[in-house]
Amino acid sequence: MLAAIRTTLLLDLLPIMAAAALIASFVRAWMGFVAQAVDRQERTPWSRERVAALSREAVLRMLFTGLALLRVGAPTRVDPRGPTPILLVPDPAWGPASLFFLSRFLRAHGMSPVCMRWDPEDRPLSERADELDRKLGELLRALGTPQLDVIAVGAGGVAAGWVTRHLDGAQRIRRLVGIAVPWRGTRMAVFRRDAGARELRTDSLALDGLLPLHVPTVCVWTPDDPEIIPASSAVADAQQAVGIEGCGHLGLLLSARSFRAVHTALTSPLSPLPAPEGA
Amino acid sequence: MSAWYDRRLVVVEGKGGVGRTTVTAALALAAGERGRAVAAMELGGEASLAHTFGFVAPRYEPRRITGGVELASLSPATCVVDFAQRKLHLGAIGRWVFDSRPMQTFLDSIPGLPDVLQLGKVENRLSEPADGELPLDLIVLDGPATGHGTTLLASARSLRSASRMGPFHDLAAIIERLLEDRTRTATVLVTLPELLPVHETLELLEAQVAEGRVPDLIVVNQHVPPLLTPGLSPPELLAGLADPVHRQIAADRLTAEARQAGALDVLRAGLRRLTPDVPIALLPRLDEPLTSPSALYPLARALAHALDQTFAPPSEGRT
Repeated sequence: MLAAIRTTLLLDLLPIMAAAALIASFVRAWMGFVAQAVDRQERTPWSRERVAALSREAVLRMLFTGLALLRVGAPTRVDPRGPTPILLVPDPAWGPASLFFLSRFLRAHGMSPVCMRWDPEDRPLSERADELDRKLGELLRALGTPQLDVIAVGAGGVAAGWVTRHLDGAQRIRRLVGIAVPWRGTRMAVFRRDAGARELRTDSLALDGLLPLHVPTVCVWTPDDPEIIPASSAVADAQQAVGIEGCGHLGLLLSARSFRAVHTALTSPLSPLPAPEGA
Repeated sequence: MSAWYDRRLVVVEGKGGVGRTTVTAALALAAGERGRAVAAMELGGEASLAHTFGFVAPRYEPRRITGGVELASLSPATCVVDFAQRKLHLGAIGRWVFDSRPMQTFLDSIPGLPDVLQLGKVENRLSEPADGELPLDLIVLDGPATGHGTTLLASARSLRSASRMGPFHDLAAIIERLLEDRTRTATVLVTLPELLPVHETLELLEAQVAEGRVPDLIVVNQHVPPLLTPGLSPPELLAGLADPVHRQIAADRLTAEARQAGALDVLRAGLRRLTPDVPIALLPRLDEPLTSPSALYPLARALAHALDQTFAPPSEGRT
């Protein structure tokens, strides 16, 4: 009887909860766009393009939240006979669900992505870096390979940078692709709930000495990122950067242009090779 | 004793999907790195090798890849026109006649002739490069898939015995001499460390042995190196991994290794029965998918190293 009442209540509340989540997503995305407009000192922040970008970002927030609730995630198993896997490091706030589409894309292109799962506890950045370092070491032992390529998103990218800079990650990470990583911090960090992300303030001591990175890095970023303010913070010093115009923060995790940039970064030779004539 | 890259022709054979084209490309690059002028060639107008090197379409005319390495795709249609011009000295008339569809259909209908024409071009490229063609030390030939491979290499013999005299007879005789001379020609058989490809390789080997041909080397492609270090047992390795995802990855890998070891045992047992002298070279799997030609270089170096260690010098006793 009680169970039936609980189920009925839940079903009744579901649309209300969904509407609340949608409104929260819009408000959160709106805050980012307002901060971005203020940062750029724009007089008319509410252009048609801006509203479209806001809606897209809010819908993507809903989509990735929904995927996370449905426990849809990036792959954690690899073909033992396939190529060396690529480690996907999600933003701890979003988890593996945010890398679902990217991992599908990489698989379709013959790569073998494997996604890291952060421990659920709220942790400061240094502990996140330790966790990544430990899990990276374990994964390498499980794979029997000395190093691998890493794709890291948001705060996950900062943790990866920390591992290469302050721990011995430079020997174990062959190439780092950072998607929307606030290398020099973001003013939006004050709105984040998790301790690690709050350390991503632009004046954070945790980010001191992070750059330059010690591994070949490609930064995939967008000048229209409402989560990284200033947006140029997503470009690491002395490293290759690919800017994707008109794409929000979460949009980079669902954008074909962004995926192509990641693919190019992963397939470009580390040592230059002359292009064949007529290719 | 001659090294593998001192031969004039290396024919790479194997079932489709075992990485024959990749091995061909890697062999060519490895020979190029050793200072040899080398061409990687594929037959039947195929484009696999061209794609491996990053080209969109195959081309009959040689294309320079890097250093002394070039690439060409042969087809019976282009080879017969070349033959008409170079051997029969028919010039533009020869091109017109042999390039025509009825003539192509007629030539295709003669058993073994398309194969002989392509192999003739290979031999010709080695012995008498035309004006504008660089002299080659070595050609690495991406042979056809298992089944057709034996026919291709036996085609010269059958055409020579069938034709008795004439230009095609002479061409077939030259090719036969090249293919049977083990100081000049080597055959490499490619397989995977899995049961089905191993069984198919042994079937092909049995057919070759029946014909009196023995490969110089068997390359086991995509070999997964052992995960366990000496003194470490599988339970110890798994116990040292805290994350269940990593434990699963390691367990999958150990299972794959066990299957691979089983397949290699079958291969070795089959070789002992058929041709005990043929060595096996283990070629490690690529670290990254073959999305750019640069990914071939580590493979080429690993293959060159394996070949230097295992390639059998030509011996008088084996045919």
